[in-house]
Amino acid sequence: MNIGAKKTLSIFASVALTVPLLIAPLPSAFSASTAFAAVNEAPAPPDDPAREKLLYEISVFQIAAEMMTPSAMHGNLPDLFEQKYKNRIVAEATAIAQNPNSTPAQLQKALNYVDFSLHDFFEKGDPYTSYILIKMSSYYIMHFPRSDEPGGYSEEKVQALIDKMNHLRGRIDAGEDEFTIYREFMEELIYFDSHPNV
Amino acid sequence: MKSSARPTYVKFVAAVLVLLVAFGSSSTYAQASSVAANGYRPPSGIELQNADRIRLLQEARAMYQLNEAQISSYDYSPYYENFKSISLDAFAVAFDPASNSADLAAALQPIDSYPPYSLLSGDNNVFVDEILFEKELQLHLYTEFGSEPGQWTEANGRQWMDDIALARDKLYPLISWDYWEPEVWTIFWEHLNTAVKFEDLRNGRSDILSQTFRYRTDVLNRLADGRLAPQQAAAFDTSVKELEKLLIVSAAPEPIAAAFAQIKAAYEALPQGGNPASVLAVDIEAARLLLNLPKGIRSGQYPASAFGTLRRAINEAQRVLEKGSTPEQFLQAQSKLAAAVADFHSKKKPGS
Repeated sequence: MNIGAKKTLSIFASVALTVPLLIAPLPSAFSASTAFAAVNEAPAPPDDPAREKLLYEISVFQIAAEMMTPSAMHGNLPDLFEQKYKNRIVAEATAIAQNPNSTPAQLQKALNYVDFSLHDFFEKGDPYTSYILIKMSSYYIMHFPRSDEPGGYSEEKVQALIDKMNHLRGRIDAGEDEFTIYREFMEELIYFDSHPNV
Repeated sequence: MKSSARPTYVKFVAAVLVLLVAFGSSSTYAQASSVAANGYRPPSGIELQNADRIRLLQEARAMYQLNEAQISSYDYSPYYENFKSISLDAFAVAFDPASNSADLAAALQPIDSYPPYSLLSGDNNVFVDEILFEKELQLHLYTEFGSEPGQWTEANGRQWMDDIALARDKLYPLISWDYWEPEVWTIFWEHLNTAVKFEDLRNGRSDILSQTFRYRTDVLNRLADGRLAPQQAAAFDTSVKELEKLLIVSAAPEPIAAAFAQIKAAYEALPQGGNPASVLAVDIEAARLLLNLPKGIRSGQYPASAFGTLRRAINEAQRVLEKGSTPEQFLQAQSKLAAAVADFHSKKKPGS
């Protein structure tokens, strides 16, 4: 194996190792004292699907931002965005999602902001989605360890992810919007990582 | 990110400009104030909507904020106090009804001659994008929009967020690797001006500004013609200065509303008697509104001839307002106009 291939492999290996960390439990509420302006709206119930939806969108934004860096080879997002801004957006939006006093309007505002930020980061990070899909599927084809043990990933599961990546690449070739494909790719990674063998 | 020091000659030129600006401004203001009789000048007649006033009101505040953003910059302390006082003075001139066109031009001169963003650049980076990011986050997540006083309408809030997003898009290629690109300052200066503009778009803010300006105009008139003694207007002047301090720092809506309430209370507590010229001006405006009433011969309408008579009376009162000089002349004109208005109403066609 030449030096370039070794380097590429080590980068993808580090990405694969990082993914589970990226979707680890989100930080606790930013601050119990997070103050909300008084509004004439009742707080959303704790099991409101809007809270779950917001947390899910935050996780998509988080992994997308972290993988759009030059070191993760997905894009060119500078550290200022990938670290400082991303951390602040995630912390604030998570605090709103977890604050029992958050109203439906506040949850919707936070959802809109996370969506706005994902688009903003995508434009600025400018990931080369098609190239990323080729490289990532190569990694899963050639190097990702298969296992039928609980907590591992079976051949069937890995192949399903590879098929999905190929399908996404086909949609890009067909001219579909790259943002949509990149977002779905992040969702596929989140799904894969959260569904190991039982 | 580079942290290179600026060439010494730039600092020297900046220091010279600071002295020129400070000296030029103070001498101009001194000249203007020497015109004042008994310490008070009457209103110049230049309205708050005048283009120079509007620009000065905005740019003085933007300049103040630009100066504040650099307070912690290395080697900036010699400039800080100078630019703070220039911006405070400029705002005071803009908001003073007595300021004439020469005052306004003199106060604008430092801003026009030496663009603040090139003059005020300290040797440290100002993290412009971080400032804009924080503002954007607050607007998206926490700012309440609506029709309450001090709030922005939803449409204005959206516009403000879009403006910040555009500014950040322009900043992105400049700040990714280097904060020293000179265009960063231009974008920051534009942002500070836009921020001030949006402060003035808060619900009720233009009323606070225009009402305060009207109160000040009236008080100055009364001071100038001796109907008010300076001591009587002291509380009013203090409350106006308090509002100015809050406006220039773009304070929260609540303290600004409280300061305006103080001004209103201080104005209403002034000894009554009124300035005949102001009263006449109000009467003329009220009479002008009558000219919009329905014209015709049917019941509830006014005959065409009544409008002509009223219009002539209004014009005559306007001439006295513009050229009259004694309280007696204004009072006489006021009384004539009142008679013309009463005559106009008497000609209304009776009806159901």
